[in-house]
Amino acid sequence: MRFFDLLGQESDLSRNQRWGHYLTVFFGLFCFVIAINLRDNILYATVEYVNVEAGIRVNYPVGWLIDINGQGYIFRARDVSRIGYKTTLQISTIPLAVGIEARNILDDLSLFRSLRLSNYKILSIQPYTLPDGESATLMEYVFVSDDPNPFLEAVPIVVTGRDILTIRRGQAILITFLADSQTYDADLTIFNRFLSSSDF
Amino acid sequence: MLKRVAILGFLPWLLLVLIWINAQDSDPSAPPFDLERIQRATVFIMQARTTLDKPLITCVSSGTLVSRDGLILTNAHATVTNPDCPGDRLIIALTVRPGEPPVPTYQAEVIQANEGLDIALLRINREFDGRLLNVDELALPFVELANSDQVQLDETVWVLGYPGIGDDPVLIARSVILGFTAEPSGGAKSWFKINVDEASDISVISGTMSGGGAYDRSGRLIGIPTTAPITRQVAVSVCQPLQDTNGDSLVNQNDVCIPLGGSINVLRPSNFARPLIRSASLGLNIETISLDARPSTPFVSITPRISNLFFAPSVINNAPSTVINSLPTGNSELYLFFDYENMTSNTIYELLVTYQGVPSPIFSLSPVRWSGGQSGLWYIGTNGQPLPNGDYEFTLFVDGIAAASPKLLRVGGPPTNDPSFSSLAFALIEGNQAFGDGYVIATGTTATARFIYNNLENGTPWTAIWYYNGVELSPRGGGEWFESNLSGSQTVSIFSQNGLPPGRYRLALYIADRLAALSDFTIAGTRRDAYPLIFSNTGFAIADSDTEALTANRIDNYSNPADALYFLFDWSRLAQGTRWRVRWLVDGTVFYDQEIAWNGTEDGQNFLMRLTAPERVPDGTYQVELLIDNVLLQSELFEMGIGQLPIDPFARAEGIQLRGQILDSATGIGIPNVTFMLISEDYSVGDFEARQDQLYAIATTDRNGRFQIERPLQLNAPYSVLIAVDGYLPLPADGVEVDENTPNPLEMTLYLTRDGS
Repeated sequence: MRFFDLLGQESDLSRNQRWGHYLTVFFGLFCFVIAINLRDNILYATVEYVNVEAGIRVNYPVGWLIDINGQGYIFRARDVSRIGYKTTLQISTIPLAVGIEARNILDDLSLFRSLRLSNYKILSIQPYTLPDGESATLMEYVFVSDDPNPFLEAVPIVVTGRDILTIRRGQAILITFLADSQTYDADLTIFNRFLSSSDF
Repeated sequence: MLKRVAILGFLPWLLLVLIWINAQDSDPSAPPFDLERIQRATVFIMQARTTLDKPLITCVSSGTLVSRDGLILTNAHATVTNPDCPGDRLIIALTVRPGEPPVPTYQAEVIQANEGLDIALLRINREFDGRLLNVDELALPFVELANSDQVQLDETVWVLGYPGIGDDPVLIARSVILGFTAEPSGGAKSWFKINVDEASDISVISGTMSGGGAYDRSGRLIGIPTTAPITRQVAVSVCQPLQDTNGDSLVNQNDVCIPLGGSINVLRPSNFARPLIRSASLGLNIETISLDARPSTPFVSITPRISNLFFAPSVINNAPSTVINSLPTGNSELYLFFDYENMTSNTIYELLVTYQGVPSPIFSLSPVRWSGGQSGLWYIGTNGQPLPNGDYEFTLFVDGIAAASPKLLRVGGPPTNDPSFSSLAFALIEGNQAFGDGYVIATGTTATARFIYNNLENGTPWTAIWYYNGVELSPRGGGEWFESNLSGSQTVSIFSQNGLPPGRYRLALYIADRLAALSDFTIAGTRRDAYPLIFSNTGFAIADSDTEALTANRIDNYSNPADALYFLFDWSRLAQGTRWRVRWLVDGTVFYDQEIAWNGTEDGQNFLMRLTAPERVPDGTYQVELLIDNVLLQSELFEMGIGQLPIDPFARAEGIQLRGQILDSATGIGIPNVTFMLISEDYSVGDFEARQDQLYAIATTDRNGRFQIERPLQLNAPYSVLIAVDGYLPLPADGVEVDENTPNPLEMTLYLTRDGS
């Protein structure tokens, strides 16, 4: 039986070879970082949307279907490639009267939704701080979404929503995020990125 | 040679066999249009009310979707709540799958109705469970209206509706137009008479199909099958108990029942519904602001009365041309005139005609709602269908009871040379000059009637009787006839030194004791040229309030957005009870048409009407017309904004319906919740920037992977398709084009391949 003393084996690499190893490892790490960056760029690539009239600038994910002519909102982006409920980012503006508080707007919104959305239920209402440090109000809720086409056998989906209400320049800005309840937590990062890259 | 003969002899047989096979392939009763779309657009309507926390169905009928966002055209008698059909909600059931009974899906509300014409327009506004609905999200199949004035005699039509109380699928009855029924409310084509074709599977169209639709060869709606069930006469109505309404654990005749009506043999032409649809689709609302000129309070019903039945061979401005007791061979027009009193829009009337003692469905009119006023002169006429020689008996029923003695008429033989009066026309006489248009004349001291006489021998006794608001005026005119010719024209006048008061007049002419001619006319306004000046200072105004509108300048155009458009006019010498008509049009299409009895003072200023819409008054060219006795007395035009209505991109119902299934290519199983994007013809997939306004339509697959594009594809427009789904390779396609040879609906099966990366 023969034993090899690996640890005790003396290195016979030259300095160039040693630097070669270091550079290889460094290059590997560099490529890895580049790959991660490329992947992130692809996965989290965004498109800028500016609405001068409303005073908003947002960055929404590439490939999402945007609608700027809808009723009740000035911007909406939906992930139509998603199987299941189409994750949605939406911005609305609400005119304010003197003496109106954020809570009044949310109550009005909830009343409206309770008449239209199935099983609408508020989960929480709490203060929130926007990435730019401004204070806002956060409301989370759930409802059951159904395909409006009565001729298809669509199965309803439970949706979790999040509204962030902030008051700027005398008007209320409502930023809404809607996602399938099963993927809501995972998708929340999309919303957070959207929020941090937006100006209102 | 023998071989050639054999081949030539065989060819005709082969041709015959091919023709036979071809004949077997085509079903003669099958409609030539997209039947499935129309079946889906046909809805079942249940009127319901809640009693003791329990919903109770009180009436059922059929209806038709006429817009993608849920406008439903149907009858008023089963949907507008009334004592015979009480309710607090309307439940709409759709045919989800052809061949199956309808499924309750929505609730609706009545937004427009004309109870007399028995037409109502509903709007789907709630989910079945009562949740409010965003109608903008609806993309329901709907039908377009045909121009029902172009319907021809003997034309084949297809009638669709639900034949039972909810457990039957949509029924299609191939029928044929037998003739037309005339009434003052709609002229020569007030009703289409239909008969079920022998090729159809059924023999009669049941009463619950009332409110459904009748379609021409192109699949456009030409009429609404209509009959009003007579619930007040239980013995003659069919009524089906459906629920245990009295809580005795039994469902029997002691429970509230659903009136089903008898059978249907008439269609209300779809053109009657156009004003309602136009105003509903634009959200236009007309209100009469002037307090002293609103329609009078609802009439408290007392027993309706019908009297003075007589026949006329033709009609001039809703008046009989002459009065006849028999009709020569070869005529296809006949009108039964009568006086009526105490009628309301809830009154149900019916005409039963027997020919040689046998009821004739061709000339009878099944029970329908009353579309006239409270009292006056009315007619029911038949035209288009030649009347065979023989004896006819006409009986009018009101609310199921014979309202007058039957009127007899013999058809046959050559034209008679009996003395006659005909073609009454009226004028105001001033300074030996005649003023007036024939049926509406200005106030003055002398009114004259010109008429034609035929075969009248000297010495024949004749009488002229004038009436004012139903009361006979004295003295009577007439005496012994004396003229130099047997035939010609003559006049008869009425004079009042103090002036003839405004109101409704009638002249009845008799030869011996026989009524020979009769006509009503109106005296109103003051003399101005040939026509009376009744309505003056007419014009439009834009104002922020009703009060402001009274002093605002009259204008004929306005370029800025406006919340309300006002129409004003002054009036003079207009007696209470005079029936006047106001008609609003936008871009040439009527959206408001109402004839009511004048309820205001005899003279006045600033009669105010207000037009509003949910947001603002839409751009367009508006027109208001004022009429009395079908005579147009005033008309004004107004341009709002660009003077043209905005184009509705969803107004077309025709085209190719696209639907299909998206499957996993590996498993062959449908993929649920996949988005199918149809890019409009202006963009290719390469141009598509994921903008909603670049899409023609969008759909999502159901649990079986099935999808349906509700907006029909237009012919020869190159669309693009894009399906991009997480986990699958994207499926883009440009140049998706349909033409007249494309099957409708177009079924598409698409396979998605999993993305292996």
